[in-house]
Amino acid sequence: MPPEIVIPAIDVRVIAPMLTIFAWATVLLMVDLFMPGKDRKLTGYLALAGLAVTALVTLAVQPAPGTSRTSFSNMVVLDSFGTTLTLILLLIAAFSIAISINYLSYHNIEMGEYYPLILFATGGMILLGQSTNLILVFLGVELLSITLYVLTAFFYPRYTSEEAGLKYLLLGAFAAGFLIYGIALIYGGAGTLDLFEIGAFLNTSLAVGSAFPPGALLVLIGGALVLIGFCFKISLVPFHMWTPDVYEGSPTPVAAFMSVGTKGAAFAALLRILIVALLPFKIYWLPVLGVLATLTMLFGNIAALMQPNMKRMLAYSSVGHAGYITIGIMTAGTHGTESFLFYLLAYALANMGAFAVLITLERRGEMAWSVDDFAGLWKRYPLLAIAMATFMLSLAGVPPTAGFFGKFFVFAAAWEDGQIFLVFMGVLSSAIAAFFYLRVIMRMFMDEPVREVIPIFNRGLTITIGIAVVGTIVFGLLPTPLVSLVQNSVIALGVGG
Amino acid sequence: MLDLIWLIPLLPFIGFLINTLYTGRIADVHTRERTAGYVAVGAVGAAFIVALLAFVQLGQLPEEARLHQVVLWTWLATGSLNVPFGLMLDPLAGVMMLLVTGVGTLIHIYSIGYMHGDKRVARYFAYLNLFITMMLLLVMGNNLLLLFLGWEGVGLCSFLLIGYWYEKRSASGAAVKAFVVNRIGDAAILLAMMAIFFYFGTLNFFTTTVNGIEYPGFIEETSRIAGVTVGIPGQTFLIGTIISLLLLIGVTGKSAQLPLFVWLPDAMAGPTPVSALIHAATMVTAGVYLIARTHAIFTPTTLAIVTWVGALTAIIAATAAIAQWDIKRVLAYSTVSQLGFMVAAAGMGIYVAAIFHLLTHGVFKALLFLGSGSVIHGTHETQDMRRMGGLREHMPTTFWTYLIGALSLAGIVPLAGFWSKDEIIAHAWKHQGDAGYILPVFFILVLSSAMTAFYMGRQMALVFWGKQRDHHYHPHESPSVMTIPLVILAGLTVLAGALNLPGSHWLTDWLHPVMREEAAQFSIGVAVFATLLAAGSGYLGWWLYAVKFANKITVDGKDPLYHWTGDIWDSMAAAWYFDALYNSTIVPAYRRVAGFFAAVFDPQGIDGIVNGVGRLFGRASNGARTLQNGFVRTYALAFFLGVVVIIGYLITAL
Amino acid sequence: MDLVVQIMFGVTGLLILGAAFMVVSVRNIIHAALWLITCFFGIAMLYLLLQAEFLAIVQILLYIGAVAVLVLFAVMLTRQIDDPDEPVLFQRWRSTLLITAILFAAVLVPTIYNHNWLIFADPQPAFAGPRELGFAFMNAYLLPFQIAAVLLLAALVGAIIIAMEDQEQRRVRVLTLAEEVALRGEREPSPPTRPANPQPASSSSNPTPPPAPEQAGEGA
Repeated sequence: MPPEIVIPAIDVRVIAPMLTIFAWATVLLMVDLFMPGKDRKLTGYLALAGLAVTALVTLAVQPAPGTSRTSFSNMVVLDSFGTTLTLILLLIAAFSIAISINYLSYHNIEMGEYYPLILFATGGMILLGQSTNLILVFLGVELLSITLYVLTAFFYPRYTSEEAGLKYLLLGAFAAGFLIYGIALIYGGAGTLDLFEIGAFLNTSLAVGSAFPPGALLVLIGGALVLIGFCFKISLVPFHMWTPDVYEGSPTPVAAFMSVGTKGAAFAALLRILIVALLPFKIYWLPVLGVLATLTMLFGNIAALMQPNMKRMLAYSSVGHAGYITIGIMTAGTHGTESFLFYLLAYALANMGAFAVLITLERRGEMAWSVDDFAGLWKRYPLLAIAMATFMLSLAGVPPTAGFFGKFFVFAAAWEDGQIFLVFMGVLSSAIAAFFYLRVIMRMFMDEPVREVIPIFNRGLTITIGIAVVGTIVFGLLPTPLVSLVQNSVIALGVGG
Repeated sequence: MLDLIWLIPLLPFIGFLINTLYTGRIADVHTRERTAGYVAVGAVGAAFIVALLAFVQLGQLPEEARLHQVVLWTWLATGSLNVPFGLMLDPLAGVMMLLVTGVGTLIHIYSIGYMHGDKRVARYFAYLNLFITMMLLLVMGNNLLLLFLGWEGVGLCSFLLIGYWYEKRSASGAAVKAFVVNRIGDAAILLAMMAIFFYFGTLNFFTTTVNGIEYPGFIEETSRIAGVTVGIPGQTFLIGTIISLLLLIGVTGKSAQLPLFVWLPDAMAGPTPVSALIHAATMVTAGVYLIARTHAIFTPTTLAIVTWVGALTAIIAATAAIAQWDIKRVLAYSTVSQLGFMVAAAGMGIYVAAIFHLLTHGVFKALLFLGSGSVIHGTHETQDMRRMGGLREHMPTTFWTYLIGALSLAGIVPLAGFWSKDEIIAHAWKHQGDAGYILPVFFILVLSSAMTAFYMGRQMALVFWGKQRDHHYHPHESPSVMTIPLVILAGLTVLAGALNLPGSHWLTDWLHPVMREEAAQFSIGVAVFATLLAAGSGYLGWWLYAVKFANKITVDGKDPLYHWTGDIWDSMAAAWYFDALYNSTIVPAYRRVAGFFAAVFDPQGIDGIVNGVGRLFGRASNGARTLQNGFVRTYALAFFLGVVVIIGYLITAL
Repeated sequence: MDLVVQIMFGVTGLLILGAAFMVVSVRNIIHAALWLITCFFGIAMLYLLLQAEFLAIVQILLYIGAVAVLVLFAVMLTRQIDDPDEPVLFQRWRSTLLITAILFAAVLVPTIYNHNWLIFADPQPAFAGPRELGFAFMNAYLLPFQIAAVLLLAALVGAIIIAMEDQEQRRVRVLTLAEEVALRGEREPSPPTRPANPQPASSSSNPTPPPAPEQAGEGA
């Protein structure tokens, strides 16, 4: 019998964004090979163009709010949540590349493959946001992780960079083990890896009787392990310990990219898993996530208090922010989705901006991102100081910045969901957090410079900082367009429709 | 004009932008200084004129129509929540706005003289302009969110201005202290906002029309939460009580009430005009404004607490003010004490009296601070009153204006302070039957007011009478750019009582659309009693320090009264050790926790300041090793423990 | 036939056990890796005996073709790992052995006890032969298949970057600006007319040698 392979009907629109970005990355690898000379800036600009094209493709295939398309045996879905997230991720990737272009040559680590790797990672993030099948979720996580291991170790003249890459690899593999084991258990319990079918399975099997069916038990344990795998990626306490070391060792633009991009994508996938597949288990995962979020907010912010090293401080601050985003995730189903997307964008703007400012002050061959370098910045570079102050205020959640509304929405969603204790802890920890963000402002505005620091400016950095400042303030004063955008970003809860 | 009220906050903001972006770049020092001053004064002055015109127009409207809202754009529109970026002008916002811009303008002018020769003066004026903008947003915002924006904004400006002379070590410390203490209050306000949003579905104060759609305001709908309770088993609370208590915590932070008042005396490290504007006349009164604005939410339970907080703050701060040597710290504690009067008044439900006292206090306390600034300026940065003495001959204008301010603060007829304070005390006397706590509060307030007179008499005697005790400087009168604002403020101090004289009670009528209060009853008996008491204790304070013990006051010496009071005096000087209490309990605990985290969880992150703590804990945790030690195996172990705990929990939870 | 199969099973089992023992006991680590390959081969044979041809091929391809070669590469790239003085057994090997044995038994004994030993039951219809797998990859699992290809490409590029040895650049610490200036001064002995510092920007900042990169995170 001659094998007859029937490829099922495919809706290419569903995977159009990631198809574009993967194709672009592959071609860019080739183009880079044939590019003469040592200068690799052109590759960077081409990668930016690829992101722009992907964004246009995303906008072109964007479904109407509330509708969705699935394809590939219902493994991926294109819903408005996914496209909004894709656009945010593309913006983050564009920022990362823009701040990398001169960074790499300045630090003598310029290699053309850097940019395709960022594109691959971005593609993995987009996949995470869109997949409705645990196999694809796993592949997305791995695609993202493997590229990031490499990018972390990209600063090869530094031993710490390699060390960071190795640490990240080892712990990442450890976490991936839990993730894949969890997926296997879920398959064993539910007999499927499709998120919708898992949800349906749980609904029927839990509805039957009072006893807890063994299949559901396997799904519960498996779900917990999947959750743990994600907790590593989004660095919730106590799975966060790699974060400061890895951020410190990796090239600063990569740290920036990781701190928002990876988090955003992993949170999105987790959100989808929680509300599509594991919603019947809400009574189980809610307290777990609640405790983790509380620990994370407190620990991240307290640990950041005494950091003289800005890069580590931002790392701990990103741990703290993961706690706030977790609150948004937990209230999935009510207004959690919206608050998550808003928070992500606000956080992305402020954090990318802060890292960009850090890059302007980073000096070749030195590894101290000391807060001392910010001392007296107002005097010499008032605009840079004002930009940094804006980012710090936004991260601290002071109005009228976008960061304030991010926190406001997250807390409001949690309050509406009845999680008043979490709101209380969140507000408390953000009061603690204000202290170290403020310390940076204090050093900039109320101190004499400790040593001569000459910031490096270039087009990519300036534009990134500019967009981040404007975005942070404009979304603080005029959040309405953004709010309506995220309100229209709905997670598809069923196939088609 | 009423549709142009958005100009009022915008004008100072433009001044801020010019001074930030343009003036700072002028190379010539003198041109820069002059430009900065003129731009700042011009911006605030223009705002004052617009505010005055708008105020007059508001007065021409019929009483019930005196609420004008201008929605600039929709700030926030989600399905259930619509918050416009809108300004409003109603009688309450109107008087606050006039106080802010009016006193603000005078202080800006004064600053030109006071800050002369300072090398960062463009920055100073920029901050000052930004402060005015934020304060105006606070009082004119038509919703709680905008109020909160202003609330945080003034906190930030206050932080920047306290730490303005950062070369002084105390200045940056005081700045951080102010901000951190205020953040506690701000967190409470944020929670209150969440609760209001949750229970009312709106953050607007009053019904607002945006694009033809009416959005309700929560102040008009307080009946929606009447009787709604939340609580733990066995104990339920009215939701109104919870919300208003959260607001009260915010008030205690911003308005320096018990137990969060400790930042204000330290805040005097900032330039004196800043103390006058921010830490006496405007920002610290924001809490009183907030209570007055949202008084509809406050329940009797909370109001009783509010009254007690105010009264206790009034007496504690008044005793502390008696025992200070620093001319500005006396005034700082006095401000805390007077804010206590206002808060107590608000707690007793006489919001008009609270606002009346707020206004008069804003004027005469600004006068006193500016006067003290003039003294400091004229004595070459001397702040210790033991080093002064006999200044009345050298600085006549300062002396006379200061005297008017001091008499007004002491509550002497017919100055502004008498009328406003008397209204509060008389009310407490007349309504002692309303609740059991009113009578004790009355006595506390009367005692505080006697002490107020006493310490002002002491201060007058120490600064202006006697002989100059320190001859390291040659006192001189300040330039006219500084004395003219003093004279104007002194004039206002004499006249401001007319705002709400018994019989005319213009302010009560004016605020009637907002407060719906009857005119306060005037009691001639209480008035005579209070005046005699104030005059008596004021004279006593003056007589003790200017006549009886005039020769016993020496530079760096002890107070003559110390001989009889001893430890009590020390306690008073230390404001009953609240600061020390926090320093010995919360601060070290906080440091220790942070240092512990730094030492144990991340040895790379030990700050120089806490090195000692870090080392201590480093030694303690030497055996246990540190957690964030860079070893992958430790990280994996923590990870695995997390897994075990989570899976274990789930299995037991089944 | 059963007997032949059982004999072959026994021989293979012994081979696997013996090879595994050799892996952990030989002193030369390259030999250990070679014994590991033998062990993998034995497992592939077991699969064949169980009529899982595809799995056997995959086992050879993946574990011998990829994993073992990777191990060998790693061993050969890591020098000085076979120190002849290093004892094969470390000090507390007995207690370690005891603990692992207990743990192992805790897993194995219940499994053996509870298992229904139906070894040579009727062969089930092939569950996952290469044919079915191929169909699945082109049908239901088309997208994961493609994504896995992307993943491999990214991993390959990453591996090349990590491993690429560039003598010029690698392991040379990037100099700070001040160090570069100092170095330039050494190379071309400065004529007396030349200003002391060609870069005034750094002259005011670093009269002393710049901090070494190891001193990262110095206290504030």
